[in-house]
Amino acid sequence: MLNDALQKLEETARSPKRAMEAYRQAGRPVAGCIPEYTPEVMVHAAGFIPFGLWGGETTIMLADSYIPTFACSLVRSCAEYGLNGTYRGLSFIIAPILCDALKGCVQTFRVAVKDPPVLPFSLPQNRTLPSAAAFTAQEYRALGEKIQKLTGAGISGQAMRRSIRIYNEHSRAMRDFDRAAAEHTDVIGARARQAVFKSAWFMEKEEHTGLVRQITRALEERPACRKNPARVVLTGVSAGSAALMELLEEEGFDVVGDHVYQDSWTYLHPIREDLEDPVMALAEHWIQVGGSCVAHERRRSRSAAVLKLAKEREAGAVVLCLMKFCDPEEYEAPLMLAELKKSCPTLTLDIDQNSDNLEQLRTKIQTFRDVLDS
Amino acid sequence: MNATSEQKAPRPAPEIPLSKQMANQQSADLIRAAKQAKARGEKIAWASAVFPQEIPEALGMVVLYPESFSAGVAARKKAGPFLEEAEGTLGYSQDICSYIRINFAFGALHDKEGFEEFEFPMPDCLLLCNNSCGQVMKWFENLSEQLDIPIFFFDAVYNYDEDGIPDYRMRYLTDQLKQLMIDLEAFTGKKLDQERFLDVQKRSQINRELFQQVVEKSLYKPSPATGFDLYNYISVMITCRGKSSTTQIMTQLRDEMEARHQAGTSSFRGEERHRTYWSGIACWPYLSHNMRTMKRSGMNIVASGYVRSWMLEYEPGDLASMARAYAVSVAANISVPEYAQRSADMIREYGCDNMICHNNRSCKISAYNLDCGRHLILEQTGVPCVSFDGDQSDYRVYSEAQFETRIQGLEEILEGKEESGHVE
Repeated sequence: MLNDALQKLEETARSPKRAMEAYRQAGRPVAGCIPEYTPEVMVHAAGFIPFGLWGGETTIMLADSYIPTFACSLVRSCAEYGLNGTYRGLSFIIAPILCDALKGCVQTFRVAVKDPPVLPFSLPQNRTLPSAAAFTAQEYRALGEKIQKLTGAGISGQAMRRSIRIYNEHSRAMRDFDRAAAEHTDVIGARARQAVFKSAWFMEKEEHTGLVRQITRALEERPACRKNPARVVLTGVSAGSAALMELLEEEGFDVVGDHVYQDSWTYLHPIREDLEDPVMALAEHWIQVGGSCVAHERRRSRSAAVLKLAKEREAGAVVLCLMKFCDPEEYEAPLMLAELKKSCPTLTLDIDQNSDNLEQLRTKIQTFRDVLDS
Repeated sequence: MNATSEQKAPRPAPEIPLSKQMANQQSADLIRAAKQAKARGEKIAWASAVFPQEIPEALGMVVLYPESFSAGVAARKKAGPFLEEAEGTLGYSQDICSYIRINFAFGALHDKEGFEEFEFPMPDCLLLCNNSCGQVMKWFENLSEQLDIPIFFFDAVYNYDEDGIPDYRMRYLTDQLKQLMIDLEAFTGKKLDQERFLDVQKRSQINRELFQQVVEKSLYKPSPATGFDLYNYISVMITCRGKSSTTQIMTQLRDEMEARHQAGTSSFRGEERHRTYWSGIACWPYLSHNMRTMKRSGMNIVASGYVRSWMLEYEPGDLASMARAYAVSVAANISVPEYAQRSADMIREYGCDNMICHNNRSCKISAYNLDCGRHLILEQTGVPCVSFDGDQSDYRVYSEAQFETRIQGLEEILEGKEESGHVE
């Protein structure tokens, strides 16, 4: 059962396009969600399968005319897929405005990609202001109206409450898996762990929750077993490819936790279910976000959060997965690394979807391993 | 004295226009005021380039603009040690904005031997507005953490479409201005005098109107100025647009331009055969190379979207109108179709027959606007366009040969030797 469920999730993580086609062939409408902090719950409540658009390994041809080479690979490959028709078949795409690269990406879709249509939305950054939550909620409502205008699918309060419950249940399942996986690295290596998290972006949450629960139950029935003494936690927007995770495994690293948006970090806090207005609950979820490079904070909390996680999971090192050309990450990196290095060894790996220089990464990982061993 | 030097007397230094002398004086006065305020124990601020200055100005708070400072360092070709420090000791990537790299390094080097000539007092707080790009937010977060000083933030919210600002977003924008008043009063210990605030708003509008008149002098054919001249006065609008000294400078500049027009002269030293729309920030370290190369081809910059970023038009006394102006005036905070429309309108209005795009490695948001918007601008205007790679202050990201080749290519198109279109 463990292996079957893992295999299914690994296949989905490996071939999102196939997963999308399968939904469409089954008559299920699919909507693209460009990260980060996209209100998938609303898309779900409107009756669509929310589908994460994380770009991918591709040769940039068409996007070069719209997005400069010094934009992050996530945005460039998303634009390429939009321009070359890979995303055709999605009912629509929703996209947040959280950094300059996303502005460029959204505008490229608006100007040059008519199918599928893109529905952008803004999130306030001055989040301590009381009216910030109200603004967020209104922006979400406006987004809901645009979805309805485009597809005819309305979003009722009842449907929103149901979707919030489903997403919270999924988040709980992911957190439970995360903890269990850290103590069963003999079964859940870095690659399998990433596949469980990555697949969540490409699968209906109800189904994903069920499969992840199966895996967690099977793990809990086994005695804890830590495969390698070298335990690390990751931080970044995305931890890159399965091949990179395989490298970490091959070099004797257990990945036992992460502060990676594409992986477990998005599941840290539930959406409130006790508020009368479910849209406001969703808005407050954004207002409460902490430790994110795309959410302004008066006092940044990410380094402390990463170190706390490393301590909890008994990890001896941190790996910063630094998305090449990601401005928010590149600004945070020097001060964050200085802070992290006061407490534990830290390795920085460049993440670039379109030029995965694995041998260079392997050398860096091996050198880091030698430093830890010495 | 030998025969050669007798025959070739040294060329007299070019006469500095009075308006420029006044602008230089204003800049020196601002630094002096900051030092004096600090000596009195008053709080001074650093602000991002298009922050709602009306509030600190009305509070009598001295505000400095580190982006202007970085541009000045680059224009004087002194960015090298700062860039090295930022990318070396401080560990910043070369991918991030070079104005900001210079500023981070200035923070580390300002009190070190050999850097005495760079006078720019350190701040007690930061005034942040993200209408010019998203990078400024991350920049000020780092400064705030390192210097342990607060940020006062106006989140301008990117206008992703052309539907106007909805009421609920206006409430958020206006509330922020109200909160800024409360927070800055508490921080400075001063009371905001509403009458003074209204005066500053009125003064800002007078200065905007004057600056607009200055810019519109380039409607004359030939233009009495080169657009590079106007770049030299942008810092006046950035740093002091609520001050009466700016009124004097802009009045003088406007009158100088009108006088040149009446006399049939221009600060553009060549024959204006082609009128150029320049897209993007100036390439400060190579301003003179840009100018010389374009002059050879008879191309004069008569319009630029960038200089219009500080034309913040609003109704004094109407806070919502002021909030709206800060959200929509800067090209970096509007959608690409809107940006392209504004650019196309200027190209037509100013009679431009070509467009030069500075593919600025530092200013990513302008690169996104350009790369995406260029298609729309060309569709609307049909003017030939060239791009060149450069940077607003990192002198390493520029090739003189590339710029010259692109300008020559553009000239050939304009002279009808090639098919029109975009030259890469």
